Amino acid sequence: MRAVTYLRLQALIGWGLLTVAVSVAMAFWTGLPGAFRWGLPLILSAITIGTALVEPPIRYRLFWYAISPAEVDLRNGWLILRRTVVPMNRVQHLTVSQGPLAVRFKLAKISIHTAAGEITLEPLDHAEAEELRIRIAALAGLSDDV
Amino acid sequence: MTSEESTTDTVAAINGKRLHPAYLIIGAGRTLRAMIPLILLSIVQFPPWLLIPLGALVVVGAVLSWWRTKYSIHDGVLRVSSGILSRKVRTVHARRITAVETERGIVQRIFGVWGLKIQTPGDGDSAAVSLPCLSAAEAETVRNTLRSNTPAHTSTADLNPELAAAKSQPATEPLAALGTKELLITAVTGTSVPLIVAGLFTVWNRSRELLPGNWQDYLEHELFGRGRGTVIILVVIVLLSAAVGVLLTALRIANFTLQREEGRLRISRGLVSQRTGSIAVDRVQAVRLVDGFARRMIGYTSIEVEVAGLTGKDENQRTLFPLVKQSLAADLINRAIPELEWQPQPLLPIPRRAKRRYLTVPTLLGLSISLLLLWASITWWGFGWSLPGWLLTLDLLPIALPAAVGWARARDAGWALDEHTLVVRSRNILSRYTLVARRNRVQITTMSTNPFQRRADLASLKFDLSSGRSAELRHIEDDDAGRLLRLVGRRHPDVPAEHPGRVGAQCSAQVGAQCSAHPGAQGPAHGGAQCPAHGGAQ
Repeated sequence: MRAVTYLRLQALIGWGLLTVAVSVAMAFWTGLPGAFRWGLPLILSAITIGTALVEPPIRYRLFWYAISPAEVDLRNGWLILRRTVVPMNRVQHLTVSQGPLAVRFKLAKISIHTAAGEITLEPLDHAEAEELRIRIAALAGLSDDV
Repeated sequence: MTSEESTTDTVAAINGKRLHPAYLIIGAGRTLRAMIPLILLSIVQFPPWLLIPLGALVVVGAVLSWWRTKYSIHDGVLRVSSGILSRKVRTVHARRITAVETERGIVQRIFGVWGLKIQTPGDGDSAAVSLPCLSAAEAETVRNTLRSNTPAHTSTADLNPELAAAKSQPATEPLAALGTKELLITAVTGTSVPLIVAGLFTVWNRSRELLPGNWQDYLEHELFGRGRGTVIILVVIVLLSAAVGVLLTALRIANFTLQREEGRLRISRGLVSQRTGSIAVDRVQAVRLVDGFARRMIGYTSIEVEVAGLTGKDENQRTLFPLVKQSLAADLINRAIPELEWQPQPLLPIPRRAKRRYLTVPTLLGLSISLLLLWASITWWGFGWSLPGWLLTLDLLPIALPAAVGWARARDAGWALDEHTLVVRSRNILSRYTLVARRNRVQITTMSTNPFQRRADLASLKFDLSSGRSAELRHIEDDDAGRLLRLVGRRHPDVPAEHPGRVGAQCSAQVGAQCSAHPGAQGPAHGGAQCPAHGGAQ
């Protein structure tokens, strides 16, 4: 459940701060029509509640990935569900990254880069992400020596 | 210097050579052109004698940069070193080269030199190495040396005999050449708005130079003073700029020829400035037929190639052939790139029940715009705006137009999958695109579903190519989407394309390599319960 809490906090920090900032601005900006002064904070609050309370558990429940010698298979999303397949021989390089919040939660994000772009798996347990990086690298034939 | 001449004992090597001396002049000219604002400033601001040290600096700079720039090819690696103070060495492996382009503008023609540009996969300038000035012979040597190091012909072995025969035939005969009539049609239909604007500026600037001052005053007075002649003058200007735009386009694509030599496609074009592009056929990920609105009306289409590294650049660089009859396009593609092994077949349309979904979003958008317009018009009316009432119907246009576009998109969308290729046809607003991709070269396949699609068993697909571009297929049966998801991108497809199974069935057919790939099934949750790499299905 670390992941869900992490996603919630992320949403709160992003949308929550924006909501507070806009609400304060609207409170002082008396020149605007009432529809704006009430509507904008309300819409933003709804988005914050949606992304912080509703979205994370759904996202968590629907997320899975599968690694095989042939391909990386990933499903993510919540309202719009995405299923992505990358053939293993198309993998060019991998990056594991952590933001400051993710470090506290021991979570990480792994990006799989191909010639046509990247797909990201997140949030993963940091140790799991490292293990996954090594395994995909081995399957994709990316050797560690430079 | 020690190594001026290329060694003759090995064909596949060039020792450190300098660029053609014409680079001294062309390089200095480029520097000067870049410095025009500075020069103007110095003329206005500073005493004129400052130009002398400035000029000397440019000359010294040009000489030094010519002296320091050297290129060599050894063991299939091109090495270009340059830089006056900080030394810069760029190396490109011949195997990584996707396209080679030679070009020469007017100045380069005067000196009889060519510019050579070598493209590798990747974006931006870092993916291209250019040798700005080479004599024709030198350019040919570089190309040949690089080519002899490319394994362009290695894949011939596993191809069928007739294909090998097609590849080995002498390549002197062009596959296609653009005739005068086609040139005109291409120029007229292919002149883009930016080109017309460029033409407009050209015409305006020239007219300012040519017309006497009082004429210019008269023009500006008429234009901005809403005189009688305004309309006529505007029409003339637009027509003139359109003509200039057409002319510019025509000059760019005149003499367009497409040749096939060994494992390469050679494309040459241009009348004033000439360009010759060479693309390794093995690097062609897909072919795209672009039916612009006007061209489609008269039954023509143009063909582009998808090659990594030739993304957001000049679209002419991607053009395989600018204009061909729609009925002959497939034939030309198969003659130019038999390796694609495209067997044209009728495309599968979007399911009838899904077609309305193409209209939903545009219509909703249009509806909101219409409502806004209506609200605005009525408000203005209230303020005494004297518009006739029937004009209100114009506010409904934003619904009608998107709906029409949505309908056309639904009608034009389609797909096909055969043993070697994936064909996806789509339409933006006016143009129609048909992508013929090598099935096993697709890099990323994404299937996405929104809640409404899930309720109706529909799905959308997106295919990303290494050229950085992609093709989208929206609202197809989710069985089909799952099938495509399984089959596209695989190097060795385990299941024949005609296999009529559901997604789940396909998965279990190849479950040895696949774990838990059922869209509906609860897959392994993340955080510990990751499925084993070689394990069976869950």
